[in-house]
Amino acid sequence: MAELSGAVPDYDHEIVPPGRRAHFWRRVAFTPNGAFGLAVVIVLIASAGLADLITPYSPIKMGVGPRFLPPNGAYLLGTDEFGRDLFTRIVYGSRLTLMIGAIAVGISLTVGILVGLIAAYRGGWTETILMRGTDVLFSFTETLIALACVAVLGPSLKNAMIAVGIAGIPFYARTCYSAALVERSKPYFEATIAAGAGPLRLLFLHLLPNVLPTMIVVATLGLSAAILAAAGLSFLGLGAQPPDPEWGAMLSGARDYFNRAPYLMVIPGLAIAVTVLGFNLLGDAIRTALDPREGSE
Amino acid sequence: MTDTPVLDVRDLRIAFGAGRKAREVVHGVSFTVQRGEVVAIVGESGSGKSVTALSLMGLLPRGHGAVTGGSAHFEETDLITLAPEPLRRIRGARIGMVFQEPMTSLNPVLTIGRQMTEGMMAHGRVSERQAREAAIAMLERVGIDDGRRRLGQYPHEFSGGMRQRVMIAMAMMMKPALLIADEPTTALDVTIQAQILDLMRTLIAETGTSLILITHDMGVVAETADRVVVMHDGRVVEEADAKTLFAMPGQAYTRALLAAVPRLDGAVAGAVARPAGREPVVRIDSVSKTFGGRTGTRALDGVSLDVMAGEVVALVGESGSGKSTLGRAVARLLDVDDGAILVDGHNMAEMRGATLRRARARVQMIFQDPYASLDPRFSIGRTVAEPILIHGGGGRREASERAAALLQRVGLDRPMARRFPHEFSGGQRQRVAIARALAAGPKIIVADEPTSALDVTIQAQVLDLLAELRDEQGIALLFISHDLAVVRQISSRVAVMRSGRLLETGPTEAVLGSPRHAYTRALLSAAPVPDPAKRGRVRVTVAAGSYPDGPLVEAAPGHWVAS
Repeated sequence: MAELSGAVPDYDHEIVPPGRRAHFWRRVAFTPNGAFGLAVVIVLIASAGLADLITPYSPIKMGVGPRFLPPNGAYLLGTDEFGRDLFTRIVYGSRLTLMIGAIAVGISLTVGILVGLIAAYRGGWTETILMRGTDVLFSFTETLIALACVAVLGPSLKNAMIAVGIAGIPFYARTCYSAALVERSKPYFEATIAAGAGPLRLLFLHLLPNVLPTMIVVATLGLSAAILAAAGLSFLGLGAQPPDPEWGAMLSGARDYFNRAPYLMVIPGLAIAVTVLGFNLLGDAIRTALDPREGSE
Repeated sequence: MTDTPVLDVRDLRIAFGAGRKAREVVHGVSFTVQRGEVVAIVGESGSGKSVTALSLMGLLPRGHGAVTGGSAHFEETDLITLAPEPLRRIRGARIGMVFQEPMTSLNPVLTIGRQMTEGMMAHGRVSERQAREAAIAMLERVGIDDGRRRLGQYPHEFSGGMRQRVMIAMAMMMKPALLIADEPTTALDVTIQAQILDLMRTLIAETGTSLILITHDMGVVAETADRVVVMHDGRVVEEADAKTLFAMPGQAYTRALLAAVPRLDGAVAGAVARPAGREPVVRIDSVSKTFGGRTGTRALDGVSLDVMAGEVVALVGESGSGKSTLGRAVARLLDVDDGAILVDGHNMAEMRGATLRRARARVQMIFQDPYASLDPRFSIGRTVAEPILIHGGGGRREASERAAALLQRVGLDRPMARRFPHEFSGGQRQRVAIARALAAGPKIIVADEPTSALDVTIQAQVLDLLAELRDEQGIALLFISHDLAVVRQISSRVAVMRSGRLLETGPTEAVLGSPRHAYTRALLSAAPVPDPAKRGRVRVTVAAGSYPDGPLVEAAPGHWVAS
């Protein structure tokens, strides 16, 4: 059906060609899922960026108000066991959450892409070692790997981010590997080899740009998993340490007062849930918008 | 023909897109199909021929295309206004369909038997047992023996040609009044194509079914069609019976289309004699390659071949003959197990690292799929400039200046350098690929089926361009193709391969004019000839293993044949 090309969108495009980007974002924002996800992410970024301006108190100074005050006019979301303003802590928490997500996914993505690209490009024993290693890591759940890493590195926010990052590597490596294998087998890649290109040019000018769109989608979806995993570590006391306003840690600290002040648990819990949902929906919307079969010109 | 036609299409209009963006692609097409008649709809890409056929079956891409006007009466029912449910009853039962790609149009996880009987049973006509009996009988009719066992097999257990036979058998199971075949032989080898075309003609003659054959190949049209509808830009340009059309085409477009078809007879303008007494650019010396370990398939088996400077040597053969493997080995995109390939006197197989990368400039490749052979993320200017940058042809400015000059040389405008591959047509993309190959300054270009994905008129232009470059720059060409007519037009020497063995090689006129090897004769007799008067020629078939494939012996000066 070569005949149809030109009349309907070219189905051999897997990626958004340059120049169609504005169109692409419209497609993300105009779906209910995409709009919700985008809104959550924008609110999150705004609150992280403007935290100093929009919060009335300090996030860690104790006794800015009475203890265990339920939500009211002066303390929008109430106060916690040390008399700190919960609203302020949640807003500052968004900063930590974004940072954790970005750094953890950054680690997974960078290492994963490198491993996947090199395995696909080199083949042979390099491929065997890298991909079988990935398989071994894959056979443990991510949380277990993260726990093991924290056990070795010691509990702290920084180490939790590294641990979550390492735990995510196998997934990104495998996704990148299969995407790179597809690109590698295409004639343009062979033509570039035949033109005499060296490994760096092949890897970083041809393979990488062509797998990157796929990896960005995967990363958007992976952000929510990383945020959730890091919150889980903090909840267990292995991540952020008091008095950091990290949502997982806040959730954990409020456990003892659940009967007296349930909002201390409900609000950070909701914050985590909405954030994770937002990133998931956004990632899904981006994936759909990038899928040429879903789109229409 | 006083009967009412089986199919009567009137003023059919089809548009793609919706609302303000809607664009009409078929502008009022009318034609009829009589009972037992073979009507070919021919045209190039974008002519609207496939869309027309799909619309008859209600199979336009959902959400993209819609019929905006006209009618298509099939046995007194208008297919266009018919509701989906009654249309489904007609589809498969009264109108059968055969597609181009026999692998993807069969469901890989269901047995052939299940798929063949599905239609009959879905239309509630027979029991499972009766359906199976009918399927076995039908398989036999399309030339597949041992039907009972074959019904239990899966599509991957059949070869491409066999799968297309299964597809035809499946379509004919319901004894449809009309069969629509969309490029049914395009994906097949010429010898298989000839068999499938013969089979379809026989079946049509026996059953009285009508056939609409959609194709771009004038040879296929001449071999099968009673009447021809030529389409161009969504309109019917000309309609005539096949003999008249080929003998006296009425319209300029039809004449141009016919003129662009490479032929195996008549004069050839382009081919030049073999330049004598020079050192070969490429010397292939008893090269062997086996895929898949020791017991695997032998893709190349002691092949030797020389290519002189400025010479075009064609490698012909069917799929699996090893011709592409040899081409890739010359470009050292794969390593051979045995033998040597000397390019310009240097054995590339012994080179490593930076030395190899420098040496690669001497051999460049052009591929079949013009879209996949360009990096979608690179502007075409950057693509063409890349080999220049790699081989140290000065700075970025100089490289892009030379790239622009090369693009101009292959017939593209300089400002196009900033655009991306998806903005170009197939023919233009192939020109870009040629410019990239030239950019490295090669001694030889390996062209692997460079024109088989292109329309005939575009193919003629690309072939002309390659011939010009050969004459102008003295670049040798290893031209890999399955199409003997194309080969005849461009090459000075031909090498025929099958199952990894070289069977015959020599000057083009000698090999194609007076072939010495049985297999070459079989290939020639299977090639479709764009002349209905030559229909029904005797075809030579050669079974695997029944022909000599030993060492080459010189039968005439420069003409070597396997003994």
